[in-house]
Amino acid sequence: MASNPVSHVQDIPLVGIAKDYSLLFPRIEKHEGHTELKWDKPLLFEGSVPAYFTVHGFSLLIVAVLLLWGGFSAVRGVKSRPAEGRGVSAQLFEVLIAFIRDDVAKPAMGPYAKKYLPLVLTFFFFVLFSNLLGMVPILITKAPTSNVNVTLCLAMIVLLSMFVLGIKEQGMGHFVKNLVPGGLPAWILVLMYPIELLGPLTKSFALCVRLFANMCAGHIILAAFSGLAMASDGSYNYISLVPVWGMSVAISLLEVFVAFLQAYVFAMLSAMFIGSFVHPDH
Amino acid sequence: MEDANTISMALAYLGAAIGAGLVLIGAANGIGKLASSAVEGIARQPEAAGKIQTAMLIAAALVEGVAFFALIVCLMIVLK
Repeated sequence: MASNPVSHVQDIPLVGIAKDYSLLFPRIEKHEGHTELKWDKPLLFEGSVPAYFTVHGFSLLIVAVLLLWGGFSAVRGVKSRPAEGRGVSAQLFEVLIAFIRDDVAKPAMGPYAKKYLPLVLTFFFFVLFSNLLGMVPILITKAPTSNVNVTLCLAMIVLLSMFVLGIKEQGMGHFVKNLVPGGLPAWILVLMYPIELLGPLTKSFALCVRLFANMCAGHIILAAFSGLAMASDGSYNYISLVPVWGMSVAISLLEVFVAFLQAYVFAMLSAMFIGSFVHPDH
Repeated sequence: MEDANTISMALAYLGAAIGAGLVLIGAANGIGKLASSAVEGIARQPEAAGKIQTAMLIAAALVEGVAFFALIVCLMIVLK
């Protein structure tokens, strides 16, 4: 129906949330035996590829707000008071920042640690806050990192920064030369270059899948246990709720530990990967 | 052919379940060996406990990442 090649181009109005804030909350539908909660997904804009404002997007916004608020209050605490009387968030952030700087960035990146510390800190705090947001019981937010698109974007950022920062630090010639081990005859280089270029791709992809799967698996296990409780719907079987509650509590505690651990592992591995390109050890 | 569809779905579920179990064997084996040598290293040199713990955590996360790859594949089979 498009007689004109550009007739599919439309305006992009921001419909959805801007018009109707009640779309943020679920609709409660009462059927005969059970009630269901249904979320309407509002369209962000209408185009050929529709984008929805889902609960993951809402959680990302909340993570951004928390990070900005925490960061600014930490900076305010550091600037205004002397060394002993700093604010709570400044001390909290300082412990984590010192830990990342001394144990993660310096061993991995060497002399470039101070220059690229903000990048590693961004990864660490974003992943930490995102993972922990999924553990809060009452809110409707899911963890943003349990969406594979978010972790894929993080892994793409790591991949991009590996190549871009490597080229920036070493220059193009040295970068290309350092990709393969030294002292190889010329005919084997044709084989080695694709393999060496595949390395960062696989590592970034592994970063993405590791974070996504760790965050998703915990929630799937919790959903399975809750399904056990909900399967006894209608029968008076209350004793089966006790082990369900116990396992849910135990697995939630394990998930909190996994949240911290995965944030640390993501930051550590990204620092190591970027460090291996920025500061290659011969 | 309802029978062929059901049989193929049943085989897919069976494959996913057996696959998840095999992944579990491999991952637990690897992490167990890792933990045993880490604990042995700490027993020999208690002052290097911090570094050994850090290395153990990183290696455990890497091995678990590989296990989660296979878990995602199994889940994708089941949820299709």
